Amino acid sequence: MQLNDRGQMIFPGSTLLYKNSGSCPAGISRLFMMSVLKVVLLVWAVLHAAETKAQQQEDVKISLNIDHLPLKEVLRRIESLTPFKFMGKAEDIEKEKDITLHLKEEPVIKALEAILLKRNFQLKRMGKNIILKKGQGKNVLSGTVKSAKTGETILNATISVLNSTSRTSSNEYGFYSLRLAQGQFDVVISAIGYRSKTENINLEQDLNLNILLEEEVKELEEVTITSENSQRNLLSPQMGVERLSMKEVKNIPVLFGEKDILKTIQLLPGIKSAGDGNSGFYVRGGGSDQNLILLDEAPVYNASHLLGFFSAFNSDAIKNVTVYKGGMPANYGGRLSSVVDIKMNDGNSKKFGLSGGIGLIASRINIEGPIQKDQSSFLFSARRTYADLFLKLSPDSNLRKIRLYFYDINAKANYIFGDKDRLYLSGYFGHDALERGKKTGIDWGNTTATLRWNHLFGPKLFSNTSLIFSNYQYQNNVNGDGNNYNIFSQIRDWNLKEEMQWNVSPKNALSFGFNVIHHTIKPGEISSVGEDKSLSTTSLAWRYAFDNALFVSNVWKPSEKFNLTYGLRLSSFAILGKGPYYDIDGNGKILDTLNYGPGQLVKNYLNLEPRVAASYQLNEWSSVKASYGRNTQNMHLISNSTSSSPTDKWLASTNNIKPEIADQWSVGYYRDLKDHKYELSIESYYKDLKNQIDYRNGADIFTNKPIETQLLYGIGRSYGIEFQLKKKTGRLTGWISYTLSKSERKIDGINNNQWYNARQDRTHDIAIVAIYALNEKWTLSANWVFYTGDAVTFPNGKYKVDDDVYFYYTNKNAYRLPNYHRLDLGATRQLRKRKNYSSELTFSLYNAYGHQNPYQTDFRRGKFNHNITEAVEYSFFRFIPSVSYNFKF
Amino acid sequence: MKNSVLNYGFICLLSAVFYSCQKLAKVKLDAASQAYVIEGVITDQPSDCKVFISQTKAFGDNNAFIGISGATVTIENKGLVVPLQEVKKGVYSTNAITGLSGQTYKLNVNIEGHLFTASSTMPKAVAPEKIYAEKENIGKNKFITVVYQDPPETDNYYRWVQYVNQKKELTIFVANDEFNNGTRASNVLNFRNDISPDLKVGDTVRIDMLSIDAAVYKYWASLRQTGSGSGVSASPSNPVSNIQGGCLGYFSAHTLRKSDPLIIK
Repeated sequence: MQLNDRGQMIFPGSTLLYKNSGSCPAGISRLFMMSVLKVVLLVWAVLHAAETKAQQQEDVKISLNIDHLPLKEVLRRIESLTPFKFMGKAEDIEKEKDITLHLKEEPVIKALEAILLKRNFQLKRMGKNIILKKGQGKNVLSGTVKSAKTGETILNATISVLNSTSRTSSNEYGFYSLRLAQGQFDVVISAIGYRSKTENINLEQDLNLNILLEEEVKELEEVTITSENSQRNLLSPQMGVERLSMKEVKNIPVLFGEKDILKTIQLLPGIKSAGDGNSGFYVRGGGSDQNLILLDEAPVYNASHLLGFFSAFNSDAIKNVTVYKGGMPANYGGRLSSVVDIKMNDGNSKKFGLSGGIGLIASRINIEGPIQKDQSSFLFSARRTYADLFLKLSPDSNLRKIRLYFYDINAKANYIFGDKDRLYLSGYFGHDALERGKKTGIDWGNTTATLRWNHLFGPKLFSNTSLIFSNYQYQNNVNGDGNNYNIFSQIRDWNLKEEMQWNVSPKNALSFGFNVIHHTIKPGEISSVGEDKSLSTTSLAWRYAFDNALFVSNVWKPSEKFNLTYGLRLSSFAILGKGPYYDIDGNGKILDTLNYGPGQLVKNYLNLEPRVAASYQLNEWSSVKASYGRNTQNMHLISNSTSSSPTDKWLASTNNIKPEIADQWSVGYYRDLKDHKYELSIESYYKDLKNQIDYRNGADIFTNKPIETQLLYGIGRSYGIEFQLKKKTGRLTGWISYTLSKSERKIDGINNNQWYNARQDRTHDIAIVAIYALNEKWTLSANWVFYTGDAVTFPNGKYKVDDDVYFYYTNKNAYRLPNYHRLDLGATRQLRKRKNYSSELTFSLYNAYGHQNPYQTDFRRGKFNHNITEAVEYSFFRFIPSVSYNFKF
Repeated sequence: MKNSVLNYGFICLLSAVFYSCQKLAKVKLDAASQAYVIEGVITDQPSDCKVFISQTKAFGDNNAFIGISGATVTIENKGLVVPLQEVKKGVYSTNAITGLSGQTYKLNVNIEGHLFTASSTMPKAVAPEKIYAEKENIGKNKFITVVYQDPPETDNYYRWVQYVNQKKELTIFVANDEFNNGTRASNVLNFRNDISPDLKVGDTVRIDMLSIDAAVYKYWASLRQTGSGSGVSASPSNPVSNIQGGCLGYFSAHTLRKSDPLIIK
């Protein structure tokens, strides 16, 4: 993709010159681009009309030539030529000398205002009287928030001015920028897991203030919370967002004691587990492929290990996760349901450190240290499971032949060039193997690499440029019916992303940029291998596409109570040759095959995605918010099984498979209780889904024939209400969340074209999480979850064919698995804590009261009595204890 | 094939590492209104044209399925309409017609005014070259492998029926030639021992090899995948029938070749 089109624009009603350096996706005319920008301009113009009008008061046009005169003399001259009278503090006016003003039938007050503004005066008109006030100029306070102990940047720290409504948060690189009136004040900086800090500053000019926060030791005494250091921003229009840092979740008990950020987010309202012990999840009724999972900006296509029982992310290397369930900012796109933005640690820039852990399932090691002392650092983190090592000890020779493991490596380095530039290089490499003998097995893995450049164009303009590589690949050798087959899938992305954050004025914060992704996809090619060499295996064509987007978004704060974010994302998905594409009728029959040459445009899907969010603060402790957003998705995971399966296919949109589209409306009410110690959130949403995809009944999934012949398309809807009560400080922390929701699909050709429950439709979903700091040594934790069983299809009858009994189905997903509930317990014992060494033991018990939670029900002819039929439920985990030892040098 | 991959994955995991359990469950199932089930077969062997007609039953009922009497059943080929006689309750047959490869046969069924029609084209016959028993890759059980020569043209579909000691083993075995067209192909008849016991030394095994058309293949493949009651499939559904008129079942015109019997050693 070339950077071939550039647009320049001037915002009406302001003197801002805004140069847009975005790239234009293939196939979009410059005209179209301009019209998109015009829409943005129009919104801007309407919203700012009020401000502009105030400036258009009557003025008097005169001609005037003044060179190097004191202000006093200038004012006297103007008074003699016009009806205006000036007032002001004499000492202020006498200080101003050397004023030059040349006018030729021009509005005099406007010109004077322009000159005096630079000298920090404000002009106030009262009819013919003009009051000059030595003003309060505005300056920018900016800097980076970091941990005092490790030098890690701190995301989403709150920077607020005591006794004022001015506040902001640090961005995903720890950078913040706040425009304030000149003067002296106390700035409070707070972040979860860190001790709040108050800095007294005297702002006379733009100020760079880098802040170091001390880590919070176990908080045994209650901390006083004020609205300034309360950790959420009631006024931010962003809703549907959940942020968790590894610090917060490290004590929550998990399966096998393997800390897992993707399992922990399933305890949040609106986010549901894809199954017992599974790291897959559903957000607000969407499918598990509708979550955009980003690791340091790089999309990870299969974020799980070992058939989904572990997430791909090693908790040692993770700093923080932000989940957007709705109202996604315009810089994110490409998935319908959510964005899970995971940031890796940067590494300790203060000193070298070695930490690790030994668990039942896996061991971990983590090395980090400074590159430039106090400035830049590196990190290397790895883990591997060793289930297969135990299998080797098994007396059963079949088990000894099983290879079953995964490992992953996270590495990151950053380097600082002067005050304004920081370069990051981060990478992830994960690999899974599940093999039996040599001929049968599954191997898969993700590789991502991100090269990122943060640049400050000034205290107000922050730029982040990323070049990202992402590769997901799996190879599956199947011994099917005596023949050996190989299933091969790959998605390889090259991705360039530019994002600018511009603190335009105290009232406006603009962000804009572009994203260009080139996809190369092989969606599950089957070939036969081994002795039975096939003569005529048809290979599956590689698919190529450019997935581009332009985005612009502005946060507008017109008043102390009302904030509005409005933005637009223009996405373009250009499908390119070479390869065959098909003309397919409604019955899945191929009518025509069209062969495209290399680079030839097959189809370009353009979508405009508006994103709007508003907030209104009712009082110091409560606010209401509303948002609307559209998302589109061009990468689809097609699955026909209840868990992740080797035959699941990632497909790109084609001429037949259209982009999935979701429109989401949501409203919310937020209230801090008991002096901001408790946070209550209530959000409700409605989501409308288009171009949803499913397999036809009886689809042949083991084929290289065009997949579109096996697919059906339809619509969906989901809606719900989510409640969460959270306590973030004190000895006892945790939350209670409850979701009441519905998710349905309607697909032509399924369920007689009637609405049916999506499998992940769960009416009730409750999670209670509690962490209690007992004393310096012990931390106890527990969580309890309950949810309505999955919507499943059960038979309504049976019949005989070919002497055997088969089952008769009438309604899709009309039944439910039994309700799911589970209690997990955990305890952490701090063993030794010295300056240079600390260690701890973590115990956990998963499914503490051993409730059997079925994940699957089979129907079959009676095992002992062949004359009846019976239902059999399968369940996984009961009473899974674990212990792990973690150390840190 | 897909199921075998999945089962393999899960069995590996569950048996080796994790604790898992199964139990009989009481599931409340609503009885749907009954539907007709038609099973029609014509082969290239003499006296092998039969149609079975029955109905669905509620899940909780026993497995004795009762035939439907009084239907009018005909098979039509090249304008010649052959009526089938009811020889047993719900079983209709004729000796007047024997199938031929390349011919299209049309089934007409009238059950109390409900009309059902289907057509099926009999493919070229393919015979098993040999069968042998072999221990599976891993595990102790022996399974039968069928060896056959796939014809050079594409789109051949097969079904095998296994008889152990003269008794039909009920697993559905089907294959197509998408990945081995024109080769000397082999297929392992791998079955679960849920109902049929494992093969043991001294058992006599014989195989019927059926060449079926694409629609009938689709029926068996989808029955095996989504109609067998397994909860692995996210979307259990009725198999894709080639009979028009809204009933369950299939109509298959296929060739039939028998293997020699094999005694397991």
